[in-house]
Amino acid sequence: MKRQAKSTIRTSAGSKIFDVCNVLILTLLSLVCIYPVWYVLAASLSESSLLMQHTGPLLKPVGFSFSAYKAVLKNPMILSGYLNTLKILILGLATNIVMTSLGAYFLSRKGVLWKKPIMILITITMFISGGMIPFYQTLQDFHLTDTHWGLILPFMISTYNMIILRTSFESIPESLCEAARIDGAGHWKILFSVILPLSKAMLAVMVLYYGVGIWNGWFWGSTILSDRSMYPLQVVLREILMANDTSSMTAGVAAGDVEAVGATIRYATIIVATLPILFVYPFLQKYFTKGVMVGAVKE
Amino acid sequence: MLRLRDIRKDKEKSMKTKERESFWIQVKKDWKRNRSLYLMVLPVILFYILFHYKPMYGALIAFQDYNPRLGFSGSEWVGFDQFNRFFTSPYFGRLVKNTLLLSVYGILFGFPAPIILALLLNELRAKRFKKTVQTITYLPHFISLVVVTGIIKDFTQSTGLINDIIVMFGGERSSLIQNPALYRTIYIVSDIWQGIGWGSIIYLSALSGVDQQLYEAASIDGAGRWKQLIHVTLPGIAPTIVIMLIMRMGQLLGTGYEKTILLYNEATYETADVIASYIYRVGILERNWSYSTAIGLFNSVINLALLIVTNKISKRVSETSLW
Amino acid sequence: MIKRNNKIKKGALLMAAVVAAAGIATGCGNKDNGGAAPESQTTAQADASGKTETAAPDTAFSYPVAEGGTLSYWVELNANAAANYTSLNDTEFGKKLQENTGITIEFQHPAVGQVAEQFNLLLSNRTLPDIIEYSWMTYAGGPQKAIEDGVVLPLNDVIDSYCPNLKAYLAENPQVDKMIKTDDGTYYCFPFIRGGEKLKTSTGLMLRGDWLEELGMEVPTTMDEWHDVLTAFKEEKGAAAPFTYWYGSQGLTDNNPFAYAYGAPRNFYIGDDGSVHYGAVEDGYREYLQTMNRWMSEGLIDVDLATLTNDQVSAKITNGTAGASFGWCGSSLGTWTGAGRTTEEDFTLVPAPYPSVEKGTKPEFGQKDNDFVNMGCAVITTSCENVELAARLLDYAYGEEGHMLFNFGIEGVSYTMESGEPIYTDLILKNPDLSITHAMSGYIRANYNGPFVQDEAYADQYYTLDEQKEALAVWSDTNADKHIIPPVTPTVDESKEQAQIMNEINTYRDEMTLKFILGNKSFDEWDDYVETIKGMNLDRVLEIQNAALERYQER
Repeated sequence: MKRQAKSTIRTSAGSKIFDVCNVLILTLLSLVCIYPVWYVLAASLSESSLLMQHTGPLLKPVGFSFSAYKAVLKNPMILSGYLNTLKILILGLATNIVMTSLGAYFLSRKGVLWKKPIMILITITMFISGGMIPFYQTLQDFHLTDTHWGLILPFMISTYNMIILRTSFESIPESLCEAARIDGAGHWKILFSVILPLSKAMLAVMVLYYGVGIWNGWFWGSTILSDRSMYPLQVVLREILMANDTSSMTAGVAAGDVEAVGATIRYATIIVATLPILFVYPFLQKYFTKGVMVGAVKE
Repeated sequence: MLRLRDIRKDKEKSMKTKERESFWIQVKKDWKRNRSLYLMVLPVILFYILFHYKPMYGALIAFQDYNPRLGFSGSEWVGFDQFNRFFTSPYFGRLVKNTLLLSVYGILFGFPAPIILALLLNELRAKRFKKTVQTITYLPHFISLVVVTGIIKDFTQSTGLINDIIVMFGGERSSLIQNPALYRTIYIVSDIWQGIGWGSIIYLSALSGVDQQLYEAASIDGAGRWKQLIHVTLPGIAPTIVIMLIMRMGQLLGTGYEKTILLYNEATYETADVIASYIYRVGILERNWSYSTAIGLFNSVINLALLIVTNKISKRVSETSLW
Repeated sequence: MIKRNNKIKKGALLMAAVVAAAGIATGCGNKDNGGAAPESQTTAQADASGKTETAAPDTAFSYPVAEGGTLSYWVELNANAAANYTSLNDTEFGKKLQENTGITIEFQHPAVGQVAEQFNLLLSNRTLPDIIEYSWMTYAGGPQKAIEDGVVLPLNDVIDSYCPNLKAYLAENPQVDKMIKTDDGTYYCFPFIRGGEKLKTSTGLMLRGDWLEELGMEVPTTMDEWHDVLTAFKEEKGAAAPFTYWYGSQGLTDNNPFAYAYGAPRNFYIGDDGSVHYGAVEDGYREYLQTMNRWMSEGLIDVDLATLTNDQVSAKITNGTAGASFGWCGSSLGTWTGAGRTTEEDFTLVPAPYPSVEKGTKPEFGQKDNDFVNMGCAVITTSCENVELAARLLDYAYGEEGHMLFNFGIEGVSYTMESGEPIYTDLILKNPDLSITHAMSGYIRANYNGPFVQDEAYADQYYTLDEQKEALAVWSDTNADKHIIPPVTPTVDESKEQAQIMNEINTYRDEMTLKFILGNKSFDEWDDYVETIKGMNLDRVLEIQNAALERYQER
């Protein structure tokens, strides 16, 4: 089906002015938003002593040096960090999407007696939690400490994400599900052939949300893993940061005198940690284009 | 009179037994119809029981004087002592006020911002430009708070960029970040700066789900872009907006400590100090597990209540609600 | 219809309640390690005293331990070591320690930067490692409570029987002896001791020596001289913010040298009358604030002082915006000199003594640690089965051989003896691949902390710049010893009360301090300020502190 090009609809002068303004505003916003990223990149490539003396905005590296990257990348755990995170990502995302979809599907159906109480009980968990120690003891009880599964299973579902996915599932017209049911489809079939294909955009958001969560997560990794070779990337990077950074919040309160080896390392760490994320989003963007879905299905 | 009342009572009684019967019949019917659905969701329910409800007894630490060595069953129970400690602090009012105000302003200004961005992006025709802007605007979300607050401080100090601009317009230099009246503005504007791109993602996704045919129908009816926005686009993403708003209301008392600690200073305590940062300072003086758990519980309960109220309101005003 | 819905709702809620209760019940009935503790505590104490009572102190003992054995040892892996090693076992130091003592050590390291959280998790386990190294004074309720809770083994008999080295050291240093006991005289740890005056001071004032030379001025020693120097920096060297420092650092501002000059640190100290005072409500503090206020209005102090990050302070000193600062010997003086010299050859930072009001008087206050610092204390836990072995291991550090290992490393590799003095080799001081601290961390522990006595000779060599060596001498030349509060231990309830009150007082004090300095509050309101603090129950805290001090004196 040919999409009727919008340009054949008459564009008024007001419309044109709006377009120009829109582009201007968005360009301005982009410049403002790219500044912190640019700053970090430039700082990471700067020379340590010169960076220290620098005040004010940073538009290009002061001096030029790869020493910060050398210091970060020479750590042998970087490679294992990336691999571990990759493993957790693949296994984690799979379980996340499956479990969240099951839950969201259930919660989006009508005429289910126990749906409301279950929804309430689930929502409560977003607010009341037992805290760190009981959670840790639970992991110990299930023998999940010192394993990568310990970073996956207890975090299989984010209630927040599930609610968002549920909202999306709910907006799929009832008529489509009805049609499928008349054709004899059970719930599994409806989920897989009607709901999921129409939810590609929201599933892409789920992949992004969960993926970024796993990528950035370091706290539980550093808490439950005692074998350093199992550390995910962020834990490794955080250790490098602590070993080389004097301006952390607690530096003044604790031992006091710590050798400073340059803030450039802090910036290089951020780049090493964030670079892959840069490439993920363009990948997922194709799911956000208009009109891919409902129109296609109606055929 | 008596007889009528008797008759009414009898009727009620039989209705009740009918209801009891019909309740259990309901359950059976529901089970028959939705059995596969319940089986489908079983792993999800198990997940919540095992990883959320099983450790939930820990929340009761708030009513104890918790000692990790003695554990949960060995620690002393102190009732509401921990809560009273917090409520009787002379700063209690100020802390709650600051926490709430930051959240409320955050909602007023910070909540619509990503939506507006998503709508603006949606209007773009040049695909590559749109993709580029999307990618760029979502990047600041990944830059650590330490760096971002460092940049903010740099800009807002008396020697900073913003003061340079002020001087250009004939004003005087002053340390903006030391001014309590400006703190909230700085906090929220920087929140928007860092979060607008990331926050717009979900709305972009919702936008792509709006039925194209509705747009075509609207334009045939003579609606221009603005009217299409009001009558097609916004209603199309309304459920997403409402749910996001409800959940945001459920975070009202949650203003975190990390950004606050990095951005505030003693001169701005009166508007900057929030519950979380105050507790953080207590934690440095004394490691009291129960105290921070109690405050956390207090926050959670208030947040939950707000969520329930917002949900109820939303049910009446729109068709969307959490439950 | 409505009635039926209500029934359903009720049933649903009932269901929900049951499920929730079931969840909570399973959680409660769950194995919870707390139950065991009270019993194990009493039996452990009985065992410990039982074991040691039958063992006679033997003088025929020598290292390595004949039968050997393995011990589990939980300790933070210092950031400098973590940069290059994944465990102390991998360091030359760790290997040599085990070789010399004949004991195998299983080191367990919490993730860097996570020590406090991991410590709490550790405590909730039923069995503990044999040895735990931690800052035990921060244990909720103090070390006394740690013993009562059945975590830490009391060491009096253990030290008597198995620790001749530590015993001898304590006998020679009675002031240290007091510091490492609890109020009722129980030893609980193998401490980290700063073995010399120069080791107890690490922060102080510093300023541009090259500027002073140019201007023909001397290093200032009084507040008036500081005023003149800072004015000269501003007017003749064009420094926009002559004096600046990292105000946001608790550790630094607690030791603010200008407050010290007026005899009023912002926290607690011991006055000339021997009791505990709170400086922030005393007249000296007001004078300090007035001076700061005056200097700030004259442009001698950085206007943005309260908002600076450490990076920004570094920038200002190294690029000439500021000419004087207050910081650490290594990470401030050392680092800044290194960075500044890359652009200005003559860049020099010279240390200045803590200022006094009158010329020629020795400064009454200055930054100084106690001999016993609250870090790196090793305890033997109640889970340890071979107490003698653990004691022998820990005692090793306090003997001659152990002292050299912990402070200087391996002879011939990391140090050599020259005219009877241990001198670090080039491997440490001039390593092409590693900075000095990173190189040191492979061989010694003196550059951070641990259960041993730190040797002054380490500091003499670690600080390579002449200005740094001078700084230690200049900054430690004060009467601070008379005024620092020794490691006192309030009771559990007292420390809770104290923390609550102090958090409020400190918040108020800090807000008002800045208002006074910036001129947002007039000094006419000084009395109100003092009244408000007193009204927040300051006297109760002074009571608590004085009581703890008394108990300390009587140990």
